[in-house]
Amino acid sequence: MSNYILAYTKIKNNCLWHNGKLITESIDKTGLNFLDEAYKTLNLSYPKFFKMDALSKLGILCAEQILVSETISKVPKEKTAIVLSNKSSSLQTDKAYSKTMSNFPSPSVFVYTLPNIVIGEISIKHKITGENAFFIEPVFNAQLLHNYTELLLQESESVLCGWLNTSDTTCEGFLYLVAKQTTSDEKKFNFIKHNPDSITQLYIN
Amino acid sequence: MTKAFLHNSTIVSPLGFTTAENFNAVCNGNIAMQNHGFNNTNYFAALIENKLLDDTFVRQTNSNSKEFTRLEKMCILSVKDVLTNSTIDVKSKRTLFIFSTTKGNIDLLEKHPPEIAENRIYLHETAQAISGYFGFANKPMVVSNACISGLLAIIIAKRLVADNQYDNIVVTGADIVSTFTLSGFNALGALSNKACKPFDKNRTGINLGEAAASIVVSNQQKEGGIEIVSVSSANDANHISGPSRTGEGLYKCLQKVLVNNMVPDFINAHGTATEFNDEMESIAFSRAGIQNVLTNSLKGYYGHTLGAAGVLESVFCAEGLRQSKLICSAGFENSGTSIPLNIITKTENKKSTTCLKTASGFGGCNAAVLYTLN
Amino acid sequence: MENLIENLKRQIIEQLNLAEVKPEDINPSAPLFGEGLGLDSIDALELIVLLEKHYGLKIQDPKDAKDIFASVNSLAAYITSQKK
Repeated sequence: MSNYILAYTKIKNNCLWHNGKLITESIDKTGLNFLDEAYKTLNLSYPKFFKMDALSKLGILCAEQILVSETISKVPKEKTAIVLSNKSSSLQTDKAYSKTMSNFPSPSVFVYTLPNIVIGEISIKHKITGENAFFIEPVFNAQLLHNYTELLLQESESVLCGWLNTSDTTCEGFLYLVAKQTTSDEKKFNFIKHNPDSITQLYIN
Repeated sequence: MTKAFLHNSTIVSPLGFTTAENFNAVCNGNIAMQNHGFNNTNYFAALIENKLLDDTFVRQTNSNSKEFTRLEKMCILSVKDVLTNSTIDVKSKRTLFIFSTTKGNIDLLEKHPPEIAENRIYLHETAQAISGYFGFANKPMVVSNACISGLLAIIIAKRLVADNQYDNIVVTGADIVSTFTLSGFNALGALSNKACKPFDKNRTGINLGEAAASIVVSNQQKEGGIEIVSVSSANDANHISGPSRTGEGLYKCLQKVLVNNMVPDFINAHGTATEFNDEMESIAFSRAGIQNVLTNSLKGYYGHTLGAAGVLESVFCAEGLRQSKLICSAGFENSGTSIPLNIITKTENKKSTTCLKTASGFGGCNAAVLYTLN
Repeated sequence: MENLIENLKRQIIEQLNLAEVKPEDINPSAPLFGEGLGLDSIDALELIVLLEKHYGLKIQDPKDAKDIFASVNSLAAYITSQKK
């Protein structure tokens, strides 16, 4: 058994890709309206989505394609860890909350002023109850994610990893699921070996 | 697998600028929280006196206090003291600095002094400012995972040391009290306007506190070393700001760290003094069969120090084991959880060998660590 | 009273980000919490903000508000009673 990337999703320039295939895109290449549009395109039927901040919406969209597929149904959710990272923490939402402070401070905005809330939202929707970690890095760091994921896989059975970053005008997401598989499964399902180079290749392309 | 130990530490807080000062203050029953005015509102919170912080910083570092933010000054003093009392080589590739914080320099959103670079609102830049002051060769690692951040940083450090990737890891957990967090927790109805009362039937919410606590996680076995025996984190998958009513995530952590269903000698709980957190912890402890273990919360002394809490409170776990001291759970008078816990009501001498530390946070996260005296 | 109920429905949808709900979907006598709209504890806090923002009314503790927030009708009744 070795560790493989079973599936991955990317959101960049307001395009959503799953396992290298374009799923949906927006005419506007910047702006955060894409997140609500993608929700409708994917027919998600999850009203809580609209209460979320941009970071959590980004995470829910990226996680959806990965976590509802056939391959993933074999992965035990109670032994699935979630390890995410970004540069801005929850800064975009912090600024939004700050604006409400002088008149009517908003409790529903404040609850999103922590970067790991997106881990919570993904966990709730998909009933994932394993280990958590949220790292802050200046740029996407494949080495860090690979290293910690390999350590967790000594006891966890799978890890949902990646990078979710929002600014006032853009969002960037890259999530992938790593799990132990046999080498025969690697060829059968086009799984990718889990190492920093392959992670970086998926992120860049 | 290599063993990992807690070595020396420093706490920079309203109760003192060294671990010894803080430990003595708490043993004497000193409380860090007071009434403070913020923007025409009074809050009961634990703050470090600004002038004392600046004067100490200038004296100890010969630096200009305007070059660093409040949080960074607290952290630099904390890390400086830890490094002074150890033989760690910051230039070594086998040394790492892990920084844990929930909101970093969030006060910059309100007022950004011209001497501080724009990008210091980013948590990694904050960590770099601290790490750069000491010249750590490795880039810092930054953990931001709500109120379990500090304990999670120790957990991550343990895993890295156990995997023989580093010899020494300086873990610093820090957060400041700010109008941002006061406003937010107030909007959630989570603040108490008097000294908080963890596990008490009349508890009405948290007090916010600030601190910068540092501790060394090392592979060196030495006298006074506290072994980090077992660690775990888990998510409730229930609600983003309220804990699972049945303590699912925390119970999962307890099942993992209490190896062979062992019962620890004492527990330092998360004990924030909200209705829901304390109740949830009592249920999780009961499910794990540890509801009769001597238990305290330190938040009755320090308030909730957010990203610092897991580190600060672990320092007290280590010192409690080393000095054979059980610390009274400040603020507790009458049991207020549906399963009564065995809350420590008097600070006294008692030899202990094992200690369980727990933490829970927004986003449904939970963490637990078992410490053992060597 | 009818105007107040219609206004409340729109304000609730806006304040609570119920993007997929239309005013005509909300039954004014149906429970807001538990079943019905299935609101949670954070929504209750936002309703407190709504009351202050649109009607100048302050509720200190969400627990006092349980009866007031039971349904749109009870909210409307409370607002009307406070105007006297």
